[in-house]
Amino acid sequence: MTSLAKKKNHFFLSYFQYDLKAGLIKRFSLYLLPIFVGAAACLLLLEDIEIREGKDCTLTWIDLLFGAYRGCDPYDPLKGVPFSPPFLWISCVFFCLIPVLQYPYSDYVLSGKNIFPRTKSRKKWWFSKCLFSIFSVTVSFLLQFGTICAVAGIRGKLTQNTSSFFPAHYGLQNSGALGAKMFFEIWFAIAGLGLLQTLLTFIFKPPIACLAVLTFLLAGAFFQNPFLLSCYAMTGRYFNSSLLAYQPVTAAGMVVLLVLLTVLVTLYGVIVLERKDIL
Amino acid sequence: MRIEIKEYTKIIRGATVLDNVSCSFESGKIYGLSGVNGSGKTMLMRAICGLIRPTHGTIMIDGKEETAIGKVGVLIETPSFLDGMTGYENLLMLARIQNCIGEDEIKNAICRLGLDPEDRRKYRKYSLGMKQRLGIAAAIMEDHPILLLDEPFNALDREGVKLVKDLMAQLRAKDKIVVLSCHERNLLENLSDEIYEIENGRLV
Repeated sequence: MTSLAKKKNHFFLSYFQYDLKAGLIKRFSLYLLPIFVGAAACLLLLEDIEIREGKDCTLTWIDLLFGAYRGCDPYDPLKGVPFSPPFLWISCVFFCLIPVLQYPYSDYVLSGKNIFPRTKSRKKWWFSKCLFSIFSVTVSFLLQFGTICAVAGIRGKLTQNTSSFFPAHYGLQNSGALGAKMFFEIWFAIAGLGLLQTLLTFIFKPPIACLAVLTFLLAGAFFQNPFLLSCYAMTGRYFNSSLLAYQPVTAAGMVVLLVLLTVLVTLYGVIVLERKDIL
Repeated sequence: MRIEIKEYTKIIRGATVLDNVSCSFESGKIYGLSGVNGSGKTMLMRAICGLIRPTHGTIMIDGKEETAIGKVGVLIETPSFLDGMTGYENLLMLARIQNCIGEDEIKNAICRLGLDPEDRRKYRKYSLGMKQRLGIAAAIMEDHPILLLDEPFNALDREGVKLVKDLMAQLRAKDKIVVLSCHERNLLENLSDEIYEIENGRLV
């Protein structure tokens, strides 16, 4: 008997290890997408800031986070200005979700016949896929934001000074806590979107899920609505400002949405998938 | 061990794919499923291993109402593995789901099918026959008491067919329940202790 045979059965952990290998390590080329988009986003952001603030302007990591994931103001018909989608933000978020779009569903279709006869509970398989979706999106987001900081550093634009450009623009007290709050809120919102995308791939198939998420991102850009998870992935929607005519989204609102999403995902795994025919 | 299927009916999108099927399977025997394409052979295997749920009817294992999930080695239709991994790596990943066998058992299963566990070629580079052999290796590696093999001779050369026939005889000797489907009636008659003929989802 080898050591493998002596191990205690931890189905969930086994699945997750399988997912890490099949979904992340073997598909690592897909994770280059958020890296490329991060690099492009950083260059565009730096160019925009240089035009507005001059060549000598330097940015903190909080500025980079704020700028790349700022999004846009929701459409306001009273302003009489046509809606302009925030392509930078949409690209950043969308390409964090792309690496995990196909894997859970293709594993279900391709390997289902091998995997499901080996386990009495499909729930564990499903929860492993959900956890993997969150993990994958987290990896994408970290790679992307890491690339943004790295490119800014290489261009000599990254500073460790505490005077951040964007928070001051919004009349906010600059602090590491503010940056951390934004970081976690964007991360959680994107992770929630990844989970939603995974659920949609099983309900409608991956191409439809991809279009649905894109529509969801556009809707979040167009409207300011506490029920749109995509609004929570825009740093520009977090803060009150006298310049803005809408209510900011709150961390509490996002927590409520994420709890609802978790309930939905759990119900799908327990009720639908557990009884679904594997053909 | 005894599998008993009682009045099993499965309707999918209005089509009756299994119609009031009742049959039984016992340890130490090879059962053949015969029938034309689309007659319901594969669907019956899916039912036994719990991939589909009955619209009506039951499956009993040793008198207990349950499917063969967790006790069955399966090859259904074409083998499906991850393209970017070797045959051994694919089987190792599958084995880790149940964690009941070790690396030696996996290598042994691969060798029994005439493949090389040290072969570094990725699965996508395998020939059809090699893929089929790997699929059968995945089905037998955990030494489950039930084996469901759907068209196991597909794409196999003469040597491969002989290998799988010998393997089935060994499995029968080890008191396994082996259920196999095959288009070649002669092969099925030579191998099987009993044959179930399926036509339009019904046993005839």
